[in-house]
Amino acid sequence: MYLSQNGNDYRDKSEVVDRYGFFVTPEELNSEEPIDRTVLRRREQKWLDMFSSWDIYIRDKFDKLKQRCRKGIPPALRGRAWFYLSSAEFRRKRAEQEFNFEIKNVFGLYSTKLPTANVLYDIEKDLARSFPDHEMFRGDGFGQKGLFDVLKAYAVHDPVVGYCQAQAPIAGILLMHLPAEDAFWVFVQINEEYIKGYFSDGLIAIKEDALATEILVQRVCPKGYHILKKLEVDPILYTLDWYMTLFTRTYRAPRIHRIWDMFFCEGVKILFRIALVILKDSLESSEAEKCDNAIDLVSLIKYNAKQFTIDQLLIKMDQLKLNDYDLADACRLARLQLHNGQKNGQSTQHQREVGAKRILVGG
Amino acid sequence: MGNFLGKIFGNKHFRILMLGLDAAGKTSILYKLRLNHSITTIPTVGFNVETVTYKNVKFNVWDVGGQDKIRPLWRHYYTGSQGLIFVVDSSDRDRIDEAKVELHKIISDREMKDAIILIFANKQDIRDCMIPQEVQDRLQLSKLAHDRIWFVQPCCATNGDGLFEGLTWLTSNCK
Repeated sequence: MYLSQNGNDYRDKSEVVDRYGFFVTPEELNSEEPIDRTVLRRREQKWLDMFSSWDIYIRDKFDKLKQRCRKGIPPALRGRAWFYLSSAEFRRKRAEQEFNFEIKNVFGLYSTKLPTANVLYDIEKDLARSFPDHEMFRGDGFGQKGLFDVLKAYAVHDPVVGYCQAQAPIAGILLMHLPAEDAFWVFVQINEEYIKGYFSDGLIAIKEDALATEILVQRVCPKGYHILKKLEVDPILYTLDWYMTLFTRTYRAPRIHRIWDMFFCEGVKILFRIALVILKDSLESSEAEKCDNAIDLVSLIKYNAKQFTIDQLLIKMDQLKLNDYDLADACRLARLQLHNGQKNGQSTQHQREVGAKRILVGG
Repeated sequence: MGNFLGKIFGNKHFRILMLGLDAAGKTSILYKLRLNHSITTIPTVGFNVETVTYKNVKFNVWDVGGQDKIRPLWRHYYTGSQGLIFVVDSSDRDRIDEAKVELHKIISDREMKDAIILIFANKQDIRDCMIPQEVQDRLQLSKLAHDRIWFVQPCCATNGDGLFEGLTWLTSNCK
């Protein structure tokens, strides 16, 4: 497609790796934001200090921690910070307890077992496809082996969920920051705490959160809500891949890292808030008014989503006139609406404001 | 200006990244420097970071696990590094080529282009190990660009020989 004058494939020749391990063009590499190294080293020190008194930061200085997560975790400490924020070590210890301490390495044990043949097949066929644009996951990179180990171990750990395709990019991003075993326990926490139920059969939790998002659009952007309703756009259409893949299919590094920094600290409400920023902005645009069918409108929203810088997202998230109570209330209403008339219908029933603090402190 | 004040108040601070193949002795070196006694180490999965103060200079030394499977994670530690300590097991002739490949990969990364390079030719106490000159040749250091600043320091993490000489070199070459 891009042939240079001497006939060589231009793209292959010019491919370079960015500071996150993704293959990019030299132009993209040059447009990377410069990093102030002095600031970076200062932030690293602050994070190292927080690690050494972690409990205090979670319990008493959570706002400070939250603010630092919003500013972005230094890349060298990101993996460890996610591990701490998600209380993954706590989960690993609990797993040992579940095996009556007879097993010292539960991940190792899972690795020796196999899920059902069709789950195994599903996992294998996604390995090479998950991040073909990242150095770890291309060809016979170690990333694919790690991805296989983590996804397979999870399917053994939770045979009811098994494997869902949206899980692969999540595990992939974790493996770009953590060794496989650590990545696995963070992955378990994502599945069991942060977005519990997203990958279960019937996708009930996803449907609830999609509907809750629509309810919130009505609140923050009544005009947009009217357009969505007029064109009969099901909220699943625009929320599904955002939520199920934790935005990994919309943003790549460094934006996805920044989003996850906040997500691990504050929980699923970050997903809601980002979705609402994108929706409000898209639906209030003049292009949205011109849309006369659902497909065009959803395409517009999806396209628009990718245009935000992380700073724009942060500013607009703060400007949303919403608090935690509004989010919880929308989730409650969504549950009621979805399960109205089907009393036996499964409901997720869990809190939707899971974040680092609640996982560790509870309540 | 910062450097000037730093010199007056003796609070120079350097971020040093320590890499190398697995079992080269990185963690042993880190804790020998930090605690001044040798400890029994286990393979590093992830990283250790310690501040080592030597002659009024503070080194923040990042020791990152070296197993091949976790090497792809190294790049997160590059940005902001002023110096690279690359640790080589001088008794491991079988893997010196692998070490060479990894070293050149690290220092050709854009984020590491300004870092000075200290090679610790570790395990000099083992019989028939490679002498510093051989390590230097096998790592093909002479092929590096002329503006790269590097030095090979023989050492032994267990008894501490050579380690502080390495830090002295870093002190006088770090900018």
